[in-house]
Amino acid sequence: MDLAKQTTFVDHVRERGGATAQVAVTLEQFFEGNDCEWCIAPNRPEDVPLDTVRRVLFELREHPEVHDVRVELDVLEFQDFPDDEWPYASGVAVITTLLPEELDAMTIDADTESSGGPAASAEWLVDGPVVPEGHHYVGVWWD
Amino acid sequence: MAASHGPVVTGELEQVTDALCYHGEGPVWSPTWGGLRWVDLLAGDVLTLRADGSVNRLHVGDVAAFVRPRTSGGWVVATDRGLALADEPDGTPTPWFDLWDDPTVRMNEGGVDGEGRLWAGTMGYDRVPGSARLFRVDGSGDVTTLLPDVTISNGIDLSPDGRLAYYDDTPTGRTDVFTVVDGELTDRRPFVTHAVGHPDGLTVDSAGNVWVALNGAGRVRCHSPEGDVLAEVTVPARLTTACTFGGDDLRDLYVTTSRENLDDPEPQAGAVFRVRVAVPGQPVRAFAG
Repeated sequence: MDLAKQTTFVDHVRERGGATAQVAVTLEQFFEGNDCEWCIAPNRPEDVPLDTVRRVLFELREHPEVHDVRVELDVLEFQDFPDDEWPYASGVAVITTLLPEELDAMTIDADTESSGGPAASAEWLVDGPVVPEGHHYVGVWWD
Repeated sequence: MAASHGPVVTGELEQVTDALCYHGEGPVWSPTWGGLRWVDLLAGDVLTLRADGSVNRLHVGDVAAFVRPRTSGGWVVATDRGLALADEPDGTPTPWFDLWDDPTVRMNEGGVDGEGRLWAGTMGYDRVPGSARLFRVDGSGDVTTLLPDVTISNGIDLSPDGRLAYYDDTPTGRTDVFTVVDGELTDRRPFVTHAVGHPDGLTVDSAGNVWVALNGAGRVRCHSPEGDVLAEVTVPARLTTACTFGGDDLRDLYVTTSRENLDDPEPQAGAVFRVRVAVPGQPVRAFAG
C-alpha cells in the first residue's frame, strides 16, 4: 500500500463529501497505490486477484462503445483508515451505449454480478461522470 | 465540404513506421524539420520521420507532450510541466520555464492560435475531473489561463478563416467549438457528440472539415463544418490518438497510435499510419516565441 496515496485519496474523498455520500472516482484514483485486495469485488474467487479486476475495468474503458468508467465508492467506513485498508467500492459506473447484458459478458473475468440499468444519469453520485447524448449509465456490481 | 463531390479518402491505409511508441501522440508536419514529427509522450521522446523512412528519436524529459515549429526556425516542446525551446529545426531543446508546480498534472495536447501564441493543454495523471487547464502562452512567455476547469485537455485547431476553434476535452465525449473574437475563445458550444470512442487529437483541413481521432475506437472521423460524418479512417490499432496532414501537398493524413494500459495491444499499436485524402490540410502555424 502506498500510504501517501492512500492519505491523499481518503482526504480527497472526504473533502468531496464521502463520509455521507457516494463519491465517484476515476480508475487511476482508485487503483494507483492500492493493493488492498478486498477494496472491491470482495467475494470473488481467490484466483481472481485485484489486478484482474483492474485490468478488466481499464480495458472496458477503452472499448469504443464505452465513454467512461468510474468507481462508485461506498460511504467511507473509517474515520482513520488503517494502513491496509482502502475506501471500499461495491460497483462501477459505466457510461456507454451498450446494454447491461453486453457489459456482463465483457466483465465476466472480474466475476461481476448482473449489471444494473440502463439509467439516464447517475445523479446520486458526487463527481458522477458526464453522460453524453445517446449514452446511458449501467452499474457494474459485485456481490 | 462544399468544394468536392468525390471520395474524401482517396487511398489505402499504409503503416508508415513500426510500432515504435508506447504512447504515440501529437503528429505535426513542418517543412522546417523536413516532414513529420511526433511524440512518444510518456517516454519523453520526440520522433522525426526522415525522407528515407528512417526515424530519429530524441529524449527531452520525463514527458514530451506536443511540439510545434517556431517562427524563428527552431521548435518548442511541451514537457512534463513546462516548455523547452530549440533554436534549430534539429536542435536539442533546453528548458524555458514551468507553468505550474503540481506534480499530479502534466502537459497534454496543444497547438498554436492565429496570432502565433501557443495553446498548452494539461491533464491530471489521475484524470481527476476539473484538474486540468488550457493555457495560452505568448511569444514573450506570458501565460493566460483560458479554460480553468477541464479534465483531459486535448486536440485544438482553427478553421481556415480563423473564426472558429474546435476543441476536445476528452471526458465530455464531445468536440466543442468556440467562436474566435479578437483572438479570444468565446461562446463554447457542442459541435459533435461522438457515439464511439473518446475524442482525442484533432485537425482541421483547408475546407473546414474537422478530423477527430477517436481513441478506443481505432478510427479517425471527418466531420463537415455542419458536423455531419463525411468519412472514417479505420486503423488496426484501437488507441488512435491524434492526426495531422502532411506531404508536399498536405494531402496525407497521418495518424498516431498507442498501446497505453493495454494488456493485449495489437501488433501495430504504437505505429504511425498514413492515408491519402482529397482535401489538403492547413499549413502548420508556428509559435512566435
